[in-house]
Amino acid sequence: MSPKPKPASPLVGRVLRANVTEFTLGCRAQGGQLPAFGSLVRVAADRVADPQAVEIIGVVADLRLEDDPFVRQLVSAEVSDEYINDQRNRRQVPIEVRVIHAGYFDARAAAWHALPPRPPLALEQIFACTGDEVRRFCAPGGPGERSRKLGFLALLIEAQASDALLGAVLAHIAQAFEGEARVEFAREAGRELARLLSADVLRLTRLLPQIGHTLSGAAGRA
Amino acid sequence: MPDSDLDTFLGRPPLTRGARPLGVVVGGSLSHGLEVMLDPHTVLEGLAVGRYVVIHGQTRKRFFGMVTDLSLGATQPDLASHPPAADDAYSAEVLRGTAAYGLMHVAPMLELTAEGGEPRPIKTIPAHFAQVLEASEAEVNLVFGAEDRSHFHIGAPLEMDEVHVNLDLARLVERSSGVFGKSGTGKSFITRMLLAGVVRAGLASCLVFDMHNDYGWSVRDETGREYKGLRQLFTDGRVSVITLDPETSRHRQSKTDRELRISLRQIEPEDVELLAGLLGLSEIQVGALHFLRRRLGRDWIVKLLAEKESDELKVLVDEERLMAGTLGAIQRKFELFRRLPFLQEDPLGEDAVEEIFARLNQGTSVVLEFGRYGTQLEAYLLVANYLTRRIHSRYVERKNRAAGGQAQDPRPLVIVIEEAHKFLDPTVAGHTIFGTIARELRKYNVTLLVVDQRPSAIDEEVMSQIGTRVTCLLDNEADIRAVFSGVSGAGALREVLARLDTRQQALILGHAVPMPVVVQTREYGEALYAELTGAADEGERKARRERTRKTLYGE
Repeated sequence: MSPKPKPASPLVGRVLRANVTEFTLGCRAQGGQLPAFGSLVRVAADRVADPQAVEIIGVVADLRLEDDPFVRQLVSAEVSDEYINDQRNRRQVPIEVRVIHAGYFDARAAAWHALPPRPPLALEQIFACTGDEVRRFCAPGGPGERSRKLGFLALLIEAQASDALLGAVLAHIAQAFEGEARVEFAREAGRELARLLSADVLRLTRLLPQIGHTLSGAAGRA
Repeated sequence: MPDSDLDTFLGRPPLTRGARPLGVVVGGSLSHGLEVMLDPHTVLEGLAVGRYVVIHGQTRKRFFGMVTDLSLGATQPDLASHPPAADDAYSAEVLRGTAAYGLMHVAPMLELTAEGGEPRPIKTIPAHFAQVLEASEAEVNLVFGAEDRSHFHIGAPLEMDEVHVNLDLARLVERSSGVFGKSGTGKSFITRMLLAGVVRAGLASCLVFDMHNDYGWSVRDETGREYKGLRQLFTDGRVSVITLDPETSRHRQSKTDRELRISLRQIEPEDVELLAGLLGLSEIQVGALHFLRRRLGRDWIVKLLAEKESDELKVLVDEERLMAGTLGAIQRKFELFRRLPFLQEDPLGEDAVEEIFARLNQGTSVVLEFGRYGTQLEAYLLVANYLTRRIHSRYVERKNRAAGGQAQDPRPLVIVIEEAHKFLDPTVAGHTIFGTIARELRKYNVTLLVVDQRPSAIDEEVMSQIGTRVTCLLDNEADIRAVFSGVSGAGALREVLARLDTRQQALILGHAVPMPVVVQTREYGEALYAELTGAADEGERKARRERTRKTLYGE
């Protein structure tokens, strides 16, 4: 089964380099077209090697704009705004976005919160996840299971995700839910973090108020 | 592999319908009970000691247990030093149940197998992470059995109004039992209810030494509400009321069957010995009583109380067989007998003891009302001791003859005494009839039902023979310890006992219940009257049993 292109999902870039835990994508777009910190993106898996892992889901963990000699010259030169915009949009050095693997969808469209068997192929297209994809990624796993899947949090913590990233990703995911579902998600996610970080009380007691604040902000924005 | 597939693979047993998951087992032992970590969804304040839970084991066994303690835990001790800010409701909510959690201590009591059948005492415990659920009504019903003639509905478990806790009356009367509790906690109501059950079931005759006129005829509570006595509930002659104080009985409009008078000539030193402490009789004086009885014959008390000192007494003093001081002290202390009008030199009528024995043996329960003499402990002890000694000896004789095939077994008898510690004090229990009855169990078909507010004052050996203990609120540490003497796993139940409501709640443990149970005792009122007098709807009871069966085993 191959993933169907989803017109609603904007293309954000292509894979530059990857390993099992994360990949880096490169893109030209700037401003509103760049994937947001903490948002979820998806990329097709290596379908030849891993027919069961169809789509890898990742969390945008960092965005990096590298410079080049020409940009250094322009910084100190007096040029028009039109020239600057032209250079921004057409420069040769891409913007690099670091994405931590959060899980993958299998051929039955079931979500797995585990590292994909293999990283994506170079130059594979990366799309931003839609609200529906986010909800499916966190949906309860099977019959009788009440709780949402939140295993991606363990992967993020294992990948040394910062408090800011954890807060940002939860805020993004929370926006995919509405009303009581959003409140319930915030509660379950907080509890999952409390379990995962129970040995690090200081971090937990610092992180939770931030997340609470972020999530209430997300609720306000929605 | 997703969890659902794991479930399929491992075959997780289905949860009982309607049962609420509470948490998982995280530790404990068979002897000290189990520690259960509560789910984040479980509201700690919604639980209470005394509630029932069921733990689902790995082998389709269910372990039936009681909540005996609740506490708070944290994965890290540091958490207590870093609590969430007062206005940070989100952190408090997510930490509660995860890094900071509720713990429930559960005393596992019985094992329910998937195949059904009688619950059995546990001999093992569930493994780590076994799921703990609130016990369903069907499970509680399974444990406490169906209500029938000998299984008496005494109340409901806490927060389970529809479930009946049924006391096995046959087992209750089989051994001595006790009703304990602080003053004003409803001991008399519970005792009256138990006696009504026993009388209705016809399992034993009861001889009630009714100190405060609580059992025979109607009584009123503090609010003035009137409650029926046993004689009013059983109007067919199954209960007789005998009074020591006809005047008070008349004033109370209590219907009595006869008046009890005791001949001073029938009182023996052993009848008085129990009063030694109250009368202030020294050991020498008690010894002198036996000497006087031997020398003066049956009239010994009459002679001691005579206004004019008899020549026989003078001779004893003159011969220095008895010190004048000792004699004088005994006579002064025996003045008490003059103040008890039911003690007479030559009362008219047939032998009261023989008549009471005959009634008891015919299946009639006897309530002996003390009227105003109930406030005189000496009178109560004297009469109870006097009658019990004689009736017990008749039971022994009848039982021995029955063993030789010369008579029928005497009908089982339950003797009810209040202020039981006065009869069963460690200093006297060893040689009083009550101590003997408690120790000999059902050998002669006589058992005790002791009602007391100071169980710690009862002899330890006697307490250990109390088969069923119905305990209302007790807060004295020594009393609590006494109630649990000889009970395995009692430590966990202490918390339960100390937290009972002051009214209408009791912890029942021992011979007549399959496991300790905290009950909200049923209302002593019209519904109970109707049931006891046979007016209750038998159809409704059958329907309830059928519903329970269907819930447990399906169609």
